[in-house]
Amino acid sequence: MRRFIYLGAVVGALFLVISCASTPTQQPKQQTPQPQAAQPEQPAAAAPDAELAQAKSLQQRVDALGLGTYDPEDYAAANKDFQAGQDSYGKDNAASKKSLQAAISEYNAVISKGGALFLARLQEQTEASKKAADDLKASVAVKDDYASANGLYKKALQEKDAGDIENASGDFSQSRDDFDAVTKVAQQKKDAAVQALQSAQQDKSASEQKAADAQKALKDEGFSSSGSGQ
Amino acid sequence: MKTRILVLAGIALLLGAAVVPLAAQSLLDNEYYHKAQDLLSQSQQALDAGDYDNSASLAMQARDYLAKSDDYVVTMTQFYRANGYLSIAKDRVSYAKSIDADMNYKTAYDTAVADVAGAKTALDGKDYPKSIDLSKSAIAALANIAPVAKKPPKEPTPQPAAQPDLPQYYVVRLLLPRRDCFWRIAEYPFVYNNPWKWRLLYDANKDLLEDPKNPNLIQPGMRFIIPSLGSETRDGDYDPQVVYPALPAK
Repeated sequence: MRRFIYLGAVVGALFLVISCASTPTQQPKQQTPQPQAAQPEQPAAAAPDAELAQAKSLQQRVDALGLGTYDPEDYAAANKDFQAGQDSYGKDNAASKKSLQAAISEYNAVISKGGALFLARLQEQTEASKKAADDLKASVAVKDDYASANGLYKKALQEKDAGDIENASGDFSQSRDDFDAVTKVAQQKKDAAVQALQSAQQDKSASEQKAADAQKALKDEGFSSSGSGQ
Repeated sequence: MKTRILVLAGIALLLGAAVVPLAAQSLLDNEYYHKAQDLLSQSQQALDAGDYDNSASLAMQARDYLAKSDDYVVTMTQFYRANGYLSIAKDRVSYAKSIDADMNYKTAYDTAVADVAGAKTALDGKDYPKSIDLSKSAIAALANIAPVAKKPPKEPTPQPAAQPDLPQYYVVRLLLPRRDCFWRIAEYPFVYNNPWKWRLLYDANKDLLEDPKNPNLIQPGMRFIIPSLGSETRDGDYDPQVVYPALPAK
């Protein structure tokens, strides 16, 4: 019996020791409990405003240039991550930030790959227009306008090499249109010249025929164009 | 031998190729036509170089010069025609003088001389239609002249139809400076005594010509038949030693 009492005393003492060890040194004030929102259990992540703005800007740039069609995989992934980032914004800012950062990376990939393809295509179109103008010798026929278009084309090449997609694409497009306009004018001028030359050649043939007819008439009358009679 | 034939054939081909362009060469040999040719050449060069505006401009200028060349051809054709008629008229007056027409056909002769002078003046003044008219008038004035025998025949002149001694053939001669041609052969008193009947001779003998379409090219030695006009009889070849009676000029 004594033995049970002793064991109970030991258990009780141990309980007290444990209870005392887990007891805070300062007792919280029980009188004014704080609201739960003001005391989050974990600290909240900051809203990824910078990432959101950057992703949005990149998306607008990609869409404005139509680069999505040149790199559809990255473009689709970027749009998906951007949407996810927007959806989780304010709810789970950490996840939002992560999605937006992924979107930024993917949009940059679209700009990098698609931009190169986009400019290559524009350059190809411009050079085709330039060749048509050159074939018509537009550099002579429409000298000033051709020089202007060619200057813009060279500027676009430099901008492309510098990675200035916006200006390069704009200048390629403008020079392409200018070359097309120059070609059209040169063709009109050429048509007019060919027509004038053909008319003159016809006049020449007619003049030769008139001279031959006159010569024959003189001969038939017994005269010659040396002035002597029969 | 083969080489010689080939060379001759080549020359013949070259001459043949040169005939056509030479035909109208003299009338086209004018500064306007040459200038037009130059301009056309320049226009083609400008076209090839892409200088289309200049090409069109040069072609237009060429057309202007071709129009001037046309005017020149018309003018020169009139000049050559007037000059030709004047030459015939002068020949006719010379012939008339040679047969004393200035005495025997004084009125006709004087008219012809005046017309020839007028034709010459008109020609110099570039009034070619008037020159042609006056030359034709001179030729017409002397159309009926013929040599007059110094001793009039005692008996009435027999009708040509009754004369058997007119020649039926005439052999073309080279009589410088008056060379035979259909016009002048027809003009002989023993032929038709009328140069305007040259076509009768030409039509009857064109098959003898190298180029039947060209009455201007006859060769010495060709033997032409002289078709009868219907009122005279003909026989044998013409003999320069024989004095033939003259046909009445009509």
